[in-house]
Amino acid sequence: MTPPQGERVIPTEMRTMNRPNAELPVRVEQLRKKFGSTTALDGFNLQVRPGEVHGFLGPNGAGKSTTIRALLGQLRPDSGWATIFGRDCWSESMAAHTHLAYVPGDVALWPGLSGGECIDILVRLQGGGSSKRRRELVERFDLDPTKRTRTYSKGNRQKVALVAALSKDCDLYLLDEPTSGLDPLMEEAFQQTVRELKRGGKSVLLSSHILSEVEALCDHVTIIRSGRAVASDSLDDLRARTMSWITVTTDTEIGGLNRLRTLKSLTVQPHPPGVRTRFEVGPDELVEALSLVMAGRVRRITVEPPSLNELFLAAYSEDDSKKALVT
Amino acid sequence: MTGISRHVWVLFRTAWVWIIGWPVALCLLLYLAAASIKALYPDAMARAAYEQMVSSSVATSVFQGRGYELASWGGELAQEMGILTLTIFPLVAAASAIRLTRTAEDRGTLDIITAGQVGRLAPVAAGLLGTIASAAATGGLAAVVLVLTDYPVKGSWLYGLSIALMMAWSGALGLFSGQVFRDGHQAQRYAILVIVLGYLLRGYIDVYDLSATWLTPFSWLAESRAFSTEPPIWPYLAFVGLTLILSVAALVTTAHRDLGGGAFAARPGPVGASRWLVSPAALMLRLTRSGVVSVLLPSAIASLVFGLFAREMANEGLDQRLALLAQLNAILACIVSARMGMTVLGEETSGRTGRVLAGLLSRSNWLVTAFLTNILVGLFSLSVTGAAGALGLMIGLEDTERFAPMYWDTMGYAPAVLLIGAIMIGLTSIRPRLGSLIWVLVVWMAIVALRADLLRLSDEMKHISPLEWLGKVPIESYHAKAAIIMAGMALAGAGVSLLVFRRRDLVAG
Repeated sequence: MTPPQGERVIPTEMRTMNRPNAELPVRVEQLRKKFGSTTALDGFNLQVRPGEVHGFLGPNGAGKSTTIRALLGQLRPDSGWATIFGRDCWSESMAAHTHLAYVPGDVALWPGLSGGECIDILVRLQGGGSSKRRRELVERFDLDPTKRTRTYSKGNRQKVALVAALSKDCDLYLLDEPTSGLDPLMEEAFQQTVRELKRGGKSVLLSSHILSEVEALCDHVTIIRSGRAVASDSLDDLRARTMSWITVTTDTEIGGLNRLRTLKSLTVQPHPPGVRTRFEVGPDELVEALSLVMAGRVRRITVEPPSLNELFLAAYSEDDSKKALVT
Repeated sequence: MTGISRHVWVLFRTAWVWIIGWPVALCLLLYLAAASIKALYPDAMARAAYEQMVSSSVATSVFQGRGYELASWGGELAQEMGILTLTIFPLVAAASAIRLTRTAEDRGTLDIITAGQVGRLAPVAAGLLGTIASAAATGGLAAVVLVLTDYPVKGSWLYGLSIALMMAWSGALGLFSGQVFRDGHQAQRYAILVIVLGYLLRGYIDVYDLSATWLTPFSWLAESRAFSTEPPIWPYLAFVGLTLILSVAALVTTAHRDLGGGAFAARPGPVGASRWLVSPAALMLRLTRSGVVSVLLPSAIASLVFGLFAREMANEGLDQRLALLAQLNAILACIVSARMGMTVLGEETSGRTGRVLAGLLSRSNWLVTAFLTNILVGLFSLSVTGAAGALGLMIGLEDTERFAPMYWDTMGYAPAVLLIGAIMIGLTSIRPRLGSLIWVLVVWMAIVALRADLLRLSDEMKHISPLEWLGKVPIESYHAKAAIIMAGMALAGAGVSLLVFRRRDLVAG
């Protein structure tokens, strides 16, 4: 039977199975969302696997927060699906929320209440949490819970949201730029906490602009651009498909490098008693490049995989990076 | 003070409704009143009868203050507009000043602006100029309106000046309050409290004909006697002096406090939330507690005082006055309900509703809770003001049997309070920003209750106010059928709101 227009139908394999862990913590398929004439999500796909810390990268306005708000059931998708442990994020948002905790990017607290009151209210409204864990986190994040939240800095407001969310023992944590206001010491405390969650088999979707944080914590990364995923894979695989830097000092100049189709940024400098050569090469020609290098009597060699920063920039460069990065 | 001109330009660009819109709306009311008075009292005999009636009326003294030159159109206008110029005008001026200064600071826009070449005092000084400009616009427009409706030119301009000065000192009060307290809401609460207490003090002075009119600026407006042949100058100077004192106090406070802070350091709060704060209803009550009390407390005092004057009003149609008191109590309950609704919409626009709904609370639960707490608090407010008025009446007439009828006459407006709560929630469920429209209806209810006859409003116009559907008890019979229909409409509206809210995107979160 054809469903009435506008009614949402979830494919059979994505329907609720009452076995949360049998489903992916997050699954987004062909999600589209428009705000007037602006397309925020344009067929976006995302999967977060159990026990995975998944980095979610993209510049401002790329669609990260829209995705997270759709996952929370705050926005109704125009088409496509978003599920949390198999529960549809719009029609079964309450069931989905039993499995998650959330830290918003822009933390708005009740100005007349103290930080401690806000934590307790948020914890109670999200179904309760451990008071022991709350105390630990308040101490770890060095938060004064007696201050009125209107006197808090951005970082302290962020700490309140983090303590409230992380006090809940759940299977999935949705963190939308959770450390944007934190100092380096608190950033380290945050990373330690996420590592503990990972060891406990929890899943984390971490939206962030801090690439070093994502690189340090995440197994898997999705890069979003104009509402579409332009890269989504493990960091190792992403690196394996991207240009690598080779810096080598040889006795003699290396011959035949110009044969490499993916060769870029080649520099050759005298480095007595030999020659220093530096270039970028694509993953398909890495082995061939190394064999050419080895023929030049190597004194010293470094092969640098691309940093996350380079992966991110590659995904956003004007060239055909999408073909190279999307699996 | 560097950067004042630029900041004033920003205010006119971003808050022109407060600076220009309100003066136009207030002067429209003045125009309607001015035209009505000329039609209602066309000749000397009618005006003499008016003078005789008003000069001996205690109720008029309570609500509108002392009257002078009551046998002239100008004097009658000043007297009849008294209840508005003593309440709505100063409240608007204080709210505008807070909106132009403290609210911008609460939003963080001043952090950015003062980081540029703008002096520490510039935003407050610009807010003061904006407030004065708004007051001057009101006074100027009022004078032009009166001159165009053939009121005496000199009297019209002096009346305009007295209104402008009344608004200027109230604006300066709002400005000072905004610098002393730590946020706009708190500043507004204390400014309202001062205005209500000042209004009541004036009522006491006027009813007992005390020679203490210098004591409160709410007496100065009548004492300015704009339409007299020889108006005294002292009330005008007193207004200017008070405005200057409050403005300087505001600027000095600004110079000595941190941006984003108040004159006093914030007290530490509790380490955790109390045990009862476990449900969305408890949260909503906690969030609206101070806002509700700030309206309810002065309202209850005003209702009590009104009741206490019952003996003095006994010879001038007491039942009519009591019917008005019941309507005013209902309007105050509607104001409480609307303020609660504003809190709910503020929760969504700030993103906190989104955060709360990311937990185990459903949208339906949130909206139903908002609706129920709204109407419960509205009905509680109606009950408190009704009881206060009934208590005052009982004491004033020394008759315990007076309590119950007055109380139940007030409670008869419960369906109207219920309907206002439902409309508020309904508007918010469609789009949070629409919720502010409820104030149009609440202000209209007040205009109909207080000045329907003066403004010669048609029955159709009067019946836009839900209070008019129920009948003015005790001078009219209660329309039970209308009450049932209103309650049904409120419940149906709440149901529709629920469906709408469940299907739309949250605006922030």
